[in-house]
Amino acid sequence: MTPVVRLEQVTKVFRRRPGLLDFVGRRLAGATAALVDVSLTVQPGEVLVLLGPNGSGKSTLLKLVATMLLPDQGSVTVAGADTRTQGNAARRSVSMAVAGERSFFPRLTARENLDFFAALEDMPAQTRRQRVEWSLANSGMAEHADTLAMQFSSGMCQRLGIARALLKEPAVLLLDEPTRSLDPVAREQLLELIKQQASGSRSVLLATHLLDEAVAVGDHIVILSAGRIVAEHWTGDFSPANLREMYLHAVQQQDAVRQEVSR
Amino acid sequence: MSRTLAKLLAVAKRDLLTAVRHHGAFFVDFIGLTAELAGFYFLARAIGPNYQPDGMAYFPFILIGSAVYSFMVLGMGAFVTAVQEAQQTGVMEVLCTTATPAPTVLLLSGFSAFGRQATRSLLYLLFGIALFRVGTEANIAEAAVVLLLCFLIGMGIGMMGAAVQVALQKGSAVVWLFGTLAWLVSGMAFPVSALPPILRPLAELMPLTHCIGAMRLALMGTSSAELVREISVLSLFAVVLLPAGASLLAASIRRARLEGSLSFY
Repeated sequence: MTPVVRLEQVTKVFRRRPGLLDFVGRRLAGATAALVDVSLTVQPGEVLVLLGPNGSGKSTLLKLVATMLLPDQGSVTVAGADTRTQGNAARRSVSMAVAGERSFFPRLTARENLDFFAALEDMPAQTRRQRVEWSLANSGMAEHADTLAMQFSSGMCQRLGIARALLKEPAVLLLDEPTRSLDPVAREQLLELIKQQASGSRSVLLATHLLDEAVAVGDHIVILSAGRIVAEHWTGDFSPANLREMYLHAVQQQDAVRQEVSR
Repeated sequence: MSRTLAKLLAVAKRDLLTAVRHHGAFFVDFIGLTAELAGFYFLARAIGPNYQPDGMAYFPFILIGSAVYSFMVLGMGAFVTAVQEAQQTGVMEVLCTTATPAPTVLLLSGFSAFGRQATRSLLYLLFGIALFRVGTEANIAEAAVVLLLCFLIGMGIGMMGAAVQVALQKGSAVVWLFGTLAWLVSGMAFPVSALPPILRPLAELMPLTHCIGAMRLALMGTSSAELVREISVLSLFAVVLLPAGASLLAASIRRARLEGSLSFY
């Protein structure tokens, strides 16, 4: 099967530029390697879970697939389109929802916000209306459709972010800690929705800290630490009990290597 | 084309709904506009009827100058503010992952911002003309051509400001610099001939000088040969600034994608 997402030896470094005044800038200038030589593939219909501590590179990896970032080295392809050279084609196949969503127009209602983003996705007017209503219903936002976005709690904003991500029926759905602000019921509903989404040919990349969430929905788990892939497991390899062991082992091993290198 | 129009309508609807839901903003703007017009009227009365800059009474002179100045500078400001707000709320990153290329989305926001300012400036002119009984010999077609060229130039400079906002998060500084320089040299409040000789070449290089000059010629019905010259100059500015602004904006978005600074503010 042809992978829907392919990362080949991807390195992403964030550079902090020195200030105009050298004596101030020199101290602040520097670089952080967010991802180093990362390669992975995601198959159609697969739920790939990215696990890792804070700053391990999970969000950077998702942003690279979403084309919000471009790689410094290596390549990222989405549905066969290279994000560097065919960004517009890649963007047609991918959408993303992040934790702590506040990326809405505050004086528009949930429905108006979704309708605006649907227009930018090149949807004809008729389809647009249907997709907006479908997304509102599937994210549990139908009864708040006519409420202004500025009146939403963080959990509702998060749901609206998921509704927006579902609008264009992407080949790849990227979710960055999507359950962070959700109550337990909404969390269960979202995990069910993720499973439903992946039951067709849609792939899901999910970044999370929660091991039970990874076990509940993941077909393929990638553990990141300090920007590197330190372990990779497929369904059948892991259970809730042994995933914790695998996770801690992988991260501690990586920390030990880092300390060795820095000495 | 129809898809672009649908997107433009979506952007305009977003901006209109946001504007009308800012309760009281319209009322405050209306009071400010009326006070400004009254201020200019009494200033013109204090100066007296003998002062005729560029061959016209002072009130229509400053009324047209101020309307065009506001259209350009506030339009650019609204363009840059739209980008700045998108960065602050995180909308910028989302806009950059839709099927519509990011420069197009920002361009449409600029269209909408200038559309609002064009409406405001038109109301300002009509209100000033009606309230203070200004006699005009307006050629509407010529005025429309001048407005269109000013709009294109404003879009070009607005995109440059947006590019600086994306790259350095300081687009408002470009608008401030442009607005301040334009206030000094564009002939908005006093004729360019009153400037010291050393500043006059700067006035010639300032697109707003020609926008204001051309609009005065179109609305007050004086020398058409001079108007043709001004329209030629404006066309040249538009041809240079529009693609330059678009290229700069596209380059700054690409750079922000590389640096990871799309949502910096």
